[in-house]
Parts: sequence; C-alpha cells; structure tokens
Amino acid sequence: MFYKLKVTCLIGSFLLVMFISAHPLYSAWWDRNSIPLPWGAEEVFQETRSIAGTEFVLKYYASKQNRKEIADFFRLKLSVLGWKEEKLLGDMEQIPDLKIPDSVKDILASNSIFEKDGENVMINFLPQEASQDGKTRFTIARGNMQAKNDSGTEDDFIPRLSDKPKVDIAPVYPEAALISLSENPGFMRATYFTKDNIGQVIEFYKNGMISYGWFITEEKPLNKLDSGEFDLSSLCPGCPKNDKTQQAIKPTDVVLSEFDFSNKDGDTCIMVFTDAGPKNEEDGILKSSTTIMMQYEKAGK
Amino acid sequence: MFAYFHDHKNKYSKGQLAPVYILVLVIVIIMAMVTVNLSKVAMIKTDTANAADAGALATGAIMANVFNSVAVQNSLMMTAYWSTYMTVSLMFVIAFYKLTSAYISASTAFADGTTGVGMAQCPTSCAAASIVGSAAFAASAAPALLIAAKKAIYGIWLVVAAAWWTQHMNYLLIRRMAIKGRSSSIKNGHGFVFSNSGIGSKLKAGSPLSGVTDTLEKNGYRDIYVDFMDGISDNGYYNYSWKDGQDRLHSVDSNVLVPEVDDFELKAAALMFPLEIAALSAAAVLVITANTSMLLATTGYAGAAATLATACAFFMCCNPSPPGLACCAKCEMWAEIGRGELAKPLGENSAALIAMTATFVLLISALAGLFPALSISSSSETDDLPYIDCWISDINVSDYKVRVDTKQTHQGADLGLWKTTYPDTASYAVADFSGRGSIDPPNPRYGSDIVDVDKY
Repeated sequence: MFYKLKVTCLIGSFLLVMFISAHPLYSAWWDRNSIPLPWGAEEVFQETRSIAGTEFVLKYYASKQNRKEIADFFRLKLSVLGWKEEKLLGDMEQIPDLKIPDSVKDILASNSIFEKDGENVMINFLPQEASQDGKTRFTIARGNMQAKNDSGTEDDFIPRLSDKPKVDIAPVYPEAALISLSENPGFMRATYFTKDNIGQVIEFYKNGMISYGWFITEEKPLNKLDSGEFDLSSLCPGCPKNDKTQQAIKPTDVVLSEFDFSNKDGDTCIMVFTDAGPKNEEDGILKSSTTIMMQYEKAGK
Repeated sequence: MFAYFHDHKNKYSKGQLAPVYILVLVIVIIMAMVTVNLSKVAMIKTDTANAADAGALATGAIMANVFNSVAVQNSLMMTAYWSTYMTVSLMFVIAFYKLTSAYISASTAFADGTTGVGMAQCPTSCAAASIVGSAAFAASAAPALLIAAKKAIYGIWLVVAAAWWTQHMNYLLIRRMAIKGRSSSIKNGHGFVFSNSGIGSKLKAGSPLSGVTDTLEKNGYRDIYVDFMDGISDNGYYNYSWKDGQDRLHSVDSNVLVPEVDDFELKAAALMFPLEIAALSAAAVLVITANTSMLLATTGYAGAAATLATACAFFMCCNPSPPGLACCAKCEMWAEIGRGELAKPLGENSAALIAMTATFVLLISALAGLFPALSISSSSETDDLPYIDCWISDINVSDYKVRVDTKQTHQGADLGLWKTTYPDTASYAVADFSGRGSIDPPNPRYGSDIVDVDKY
C-alpha cells in the first residue's frame, strides 16, 4: 500500500514537472532570462545578425493568435519577469514639429522594446496584410545594445550575418561581409559588402572567377541607374539648409555593373556590383562602398 | 451481250432485268467508292479534330502549369519581401530608439544650458555652474547614441540595397520561367497537333535513299518527320508536307496561339530605390552633423561650466559681508564670460536638435517608403530596376486562352475513269487555362479546359 503511494507520488511529481516545463511561461521558472512564448507560436527560422554594432539573435515566429493577443501576452509576461518596456512612440510624439504618419505609428506601436540589466528584447510584428495563411508573424530580437554604446569598431555598422554559404563557387572579396544569403540545392544567392571601391572589386572578381573555372559570357559596363525626376527635399521640408545637408539630400547615384559567368558544366553565375552608399568624406566610414551580389545556378536547375 | 439479248429477245417472255441489274451494280460500285471516299474524308476530319483538341489541351495544361509555378514562386517572393521588411523595420526601430534617446539627452542639455544662461550671474553662478555641468553631462550622452543611430541607418541601407537586388532577381527568374514556359507550351502544342494528325501512319519507315533530292519526297519518310518534330520551336505556325509513293501531295498545318507573358504588373515599395537610398544617406549625414554639433556642445558646456565654477569660487569670497570688492568684480566678470561661452554650445545644441528632427523626418519617410504601395508595369528585364520590387501582382495577358488551328490537305488519286478528291479539312480548339488560380494572392489552381471547338 505504502509502496503504491510512493510510486503514485513519484509519477505525479514527474507529471507536474513535465507540465511546468511544457508551459511556455513557466518553462524557465528557474531561468528568468528566457523569453516566454505565447501558445501555438511556431518558430519559422532564426538568424544571428549584427545591427548597429550589436549582435542580435532574431527568431521568426508564426502564430494563429492575433497581434493584440500576442503583444498583450508579452507585455504581461515580460513585465512579470522584470523587463521594462520602453515608450518609443510616446517619446517620439513628444518631439516638437515631428509629424508621424499613421502607417509609421502603427509600425512603432506594434514594435515593443523591453530592457532589463542592459539587455534588450524587441518584439516586432509584420503587417496583417502580409499574412498569406492568416497567421500572425512576429520576430523576437534579443541583444545587448547598451554594451556597444561607447565601444565598437568603425566596421560594426555592417549588418553581417554569422552564416556562411555552403557551396564554394566563387572567391569572397577580402574582408567583405555577408549581408544576405539564400541557398537551395543547386542554387545560391548571396550579397556581400565591402568598403573598397567598385572598380577595385570588379577587377578582383574578373581575375578571381577565372581561377574558379568561370568565364565571362556577358559584361555590362558601369551604368548609372535612371531613377527619373524626383525631389528628396519634398520629403524633408524642415531639413537644415546648410551646404552639407543640401548635398546630402540630393539623389544618390546608383552605379551598377553586371557580369554573367558560365563554366564548362553549363552552370551560371550572375554577379552585380553596385555602388549606392552614403558618401561622407568627413565621417571616414564610407568614403567608398560596393555591394557584391551573386547568384549561382547549377545547370539543369 | 446486248446484241445477244436483242437477237434472242423473242425467246424470253418475261421482263428483261439484266440491264437493270447492271445499272444497279454500277450504282452500288459508285456508292461504295463514294462511301470509301467519304469515310476517308471523315477520318481526316477526325484526325484534325483530335489534333486540335490534343494540341489545345496540351498547350493550355502547360500554360496552367506555368501560371501555377508563377503563383508558387510569387508566394516565395512575397515571403522574402516581408521577411526583409520585418528585419528592416526592426532596424528602423533601433535607429529610432537610439535617435530618440539622443534627442532626449540633447533636449535636456539644451534646457539645462538655457536655464544656465539665465542663471549665469554672480549671485547664482554656483547654481549656474551646476546646471551647465548637468547640460554637459546630458550632452555627452548624445554622441554615442548618435553613432549607434548612424550605424543602424547604414545597416538599413545595406539590407535595403540587398533586398532591392534580391527581389529584382526573384522577379527576373519568375519572368524568365514564364516566358520559357510559354515557349514550351507552343512547342508542345505543335508536337501534339502533329502527333495526333495521323502523319506517322502515312509515312514510309526509315530514311530516304541517298539519291532522293526532292524535299517533299524526302519528307515522306518517318526519320525526316522525326527530325522535323525535334526541330519544332516556339514559332506560332508550322507546316509538314510530303509526297507519298503515288506522288500525291499531303500537307498538315499547325497554328498555335498563346498569349504573351512578358508584361508583368508588380507591386513595388512606395519610394523608388534611389530615393530610398538618398533618404537614408541624407539621414546618415544629418546624424553625423548632429553628432559633430553635440560633441562641440558638450565641450562648450563643459568649458562654460568651468568658467561659471570660477565665478562661483569668487562668489564665495565675495559673499561674506562686507563683500570683498575684488572677488565680486571677478565673480561678475567670470559669470559674464561664462554666459558668453554658453552661446556657442547652445547654438550647436540647437543645430543638433534641428538635424535630429530632420533625421526623424527622413527615417520616417524611408520606413513608410518601404511599404508596398506602388503598382508598376514591367515589360522588360530592366525597367523595374529603379524600384524595390515586392511581388508580382499579375501577368497582363490578353486572355487566359490558347487556340490551336490545324488543317490537312490531301491530294486525291487518279484512277483513270475515277478521280478521287479530298477537300481541305480544318479544325480548331480553344482551351482556357484560368481555372481558379491567381497570382496575387498566390493561388496555384490554374487548370486547363477545352472551351470551344469547331462545329463541323
């Protein structure tokens, strides 16, 4: 009898622990740093990206619950765990002469920033119209922004991804940072960024691709992108009227050049080099900049 | 035979039926020959109808597949855009967060500095030194925040540039796939027309002898026909003509009409790409300007605070009664110098606040500019380049129908007394491939159905 009671107690305790562990809010009751998740939230994918010099882990979720339910969940549960919500929209609305359109207000209102012990958690929602399956998409980004306020290198503005392409089909320009990556079997698309000038980068790839067995099938020389007539100052009528800002608000030339490569197996690789960066000699960060975009396709794909 | 009957006609008392039988026999033979001829015409008609139906159905089915693939790829393009939008909006939030914090620091510094000017007199020089010191402290927090904001803006610029190209390439791949699919549908349409037109059974096996030079005679062999089938491309019209063993000419025409799929309707971001980049560049430059101003303001406030602290020190010796005249004069002098020194940091601080407000305006425009709002038409591979493509709204087609026409011409046989002729036989079929599919929202449920055929 006593033995049976002991076994029942043991099983009961085990089930209780399992239940608590399974519950998203209490799953980490021993670890108050974990971020609870609303019921039914499924992780779609995650990436680690550097933003403004801070390494963020971005986790993308989909949930059947609506945006308000999810936002309310995080406000309630994170405050219980000691996270303090920053009133970004409220603070911005206090800025004199700043008119925030409703569409941007909506984005800011649906993006919450929480802070605890110098660490930040941001909950970010996609507009509802973006949903193709009726699910609400949201991101949880976590990083320590405060730690980088006074430090960091000049280069840490680059939103580099921590991933690397699985296939080695082309040389990577020295010190170039990977910005975006998409890979499927027989297909790879990547974007790199470097502070070197476009001519230097093109020269590197024209020679470097040959050593990877590629030959040029088409070369489109440097070309300025025609963006038609527009007036940026209309976006910012209140912008200061000194020479530097007037220069800054002039349309930026987007210069691009395309090279199409092929190899003996019939694989193709399109490379596009663009130079559209904000130029600022005084700043010393972006005297020149080149974005390297490559798309590789295996023959027969 | 007639002479025999004539000579012996008196021996027959009954009616003479033989001529009638003969006449009937002739009629029956003629009727049999006409029947054979008619059945052959009917067979040709059946062949053309089958060929047109099969060709239209095959063409329509491939076009339905093309549109289904476009819908599926468009869904991925849409997801890719929204994923980037999510990342970028997060980066904007970080930029706003840093900029707002910098703005709060700068406006606190400005408020303290302005108060400090009012208090920069000998009797209140100690309080002025303290509050201007606070201004320096508040101002000193701004540069680091502004640098972080600038980095976030540069980061946004890079991700936007990557997204611009990625989305353009997505569009390009879908466009090329659709155009290639249309070519394939035309090619297959012709293939089905010729395969179902009964040509194969009418040709001689193997290849023509080496001495044969006449093209039509060569075409009478199956191997040449197979080569012809292999060579079919996406031209709308094809004809295969050949001569049979009796030197009679035969010909089959195939005409496949498929709507063009090179005119795309795209949903693009509200701001054109160069404008978006220009807005971000301008925002970055303004943040740099604000940063420089805040650094100068910090130094200026700190200098003014030190000057006012000197005035405060003289106030300490001026304050006891009776006041030390030298101390009081020096206190007044340093307080005035301090007040004068505050003008520069206040000016820089004010300029920084204006630059930050302008940065907010530009960043708000840039963020709003990424929302899918423009509808653009693209009929080439490059005319979408000035825009940030979000997804494909539609492919502008004249209608979702394909039409296949086929005609067979067969020369009749000359049998001496009898000459057979066959009329030209034509058929057409129209297939609709719209089904229940749509490209936006992506719904890959396009399907092909025959909706019209000739009534003869």
